[in-house]
Amino acid sequence: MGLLQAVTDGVKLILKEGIIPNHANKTLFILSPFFFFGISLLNWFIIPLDYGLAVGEFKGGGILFTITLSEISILGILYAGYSSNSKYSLLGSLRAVAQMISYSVAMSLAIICIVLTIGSIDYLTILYSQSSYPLFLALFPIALILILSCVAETGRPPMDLMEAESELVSGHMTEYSGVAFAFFFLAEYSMMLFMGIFITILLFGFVNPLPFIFLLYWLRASLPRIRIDHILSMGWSSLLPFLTGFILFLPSILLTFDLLA
Amino acid sequence: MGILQLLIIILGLLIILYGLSFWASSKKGDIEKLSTYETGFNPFNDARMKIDIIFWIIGLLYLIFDLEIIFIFPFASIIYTINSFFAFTAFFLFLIILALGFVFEYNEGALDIVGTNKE
Repeated sequence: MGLLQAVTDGVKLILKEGIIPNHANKTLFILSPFFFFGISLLNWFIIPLDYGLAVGEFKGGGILFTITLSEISILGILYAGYSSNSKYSLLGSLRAVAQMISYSVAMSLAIICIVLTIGSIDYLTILYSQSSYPLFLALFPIALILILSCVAETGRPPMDLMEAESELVSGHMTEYSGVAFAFFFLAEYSMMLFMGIFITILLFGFVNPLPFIFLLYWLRASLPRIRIDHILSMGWSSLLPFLTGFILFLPSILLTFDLLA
Repeated sequence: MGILQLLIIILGLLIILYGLSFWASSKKGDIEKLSTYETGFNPFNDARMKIDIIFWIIGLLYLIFDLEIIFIFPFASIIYTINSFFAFTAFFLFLIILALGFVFEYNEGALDIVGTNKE
């Protein structure tokens, strides 16, 4: 039935030869997939997998932990692209880093709007406070921006500029083969699942990655790739001014109508 | 489970996978296979070339805005408990100064990414 095809695909990647190019910086080249995959797995430490169930015991600043990890993981891409010493890797990693840092700013500012509304940076508090009314409706424009920036952070089509195959071969992963490539690949899929859970916790008040995954594949099937300058200027000159204004607007509304509990 | 335990488990998993691959895969590299990828040509020049200034500018802007985010987060999480007009005004002034800086930057054309705003 082909159920085991995904498993054999992974086993094939383990059996492949891992090539280290002549001119690469060898230490950094070997360590950067470890760094990238390790950071993306560390994300699962804090996120609630159900009401009140998480892998680790970490009280308090859940969202800060997530933001920190998602911004540290950008370094893995930079290391991989720089240490490969190939033109395609360098250009691909530069574009990936530019895109991801632009959208991580938008994502953090959108999260700040949610934190301002709820008044806590703990995942479980945010999850429980939405049991009657999802934030998706209360903060509709912010929800759209958050979903958009999560799509850009995961680097899936239509925003897969980091590995635009017709221009950059495979971006920062060009020189990687075998299990090191599998690490990057698995990290990307782990981040997709994580972002799915993250979105549903912050905006809808339940824990399930599948709606976001469905959205990603829907977007991939229906939209062409966006140009790099369009994507960057959308992040910096459309989303950022709007979010800055909204962060001024939201506490004003809360204070004016005395909604601060 | 603490974070150190999880870190050790993750590192162990990754090292086992890498070691398994190192043990199972063939290792026959020749000069062509190990050379830098260059779409069929022989590699020429160094890969560390001159890059567009816009990447550097974006990195600089990111630093400023990330610091801003770090400063906003504590306020955003305690706005319920302090509930004071003075704190709110201070926060407002901070954000307005930052927004004015961003407007200045935008008018200077720091965000004119190639070809976008010239059409």
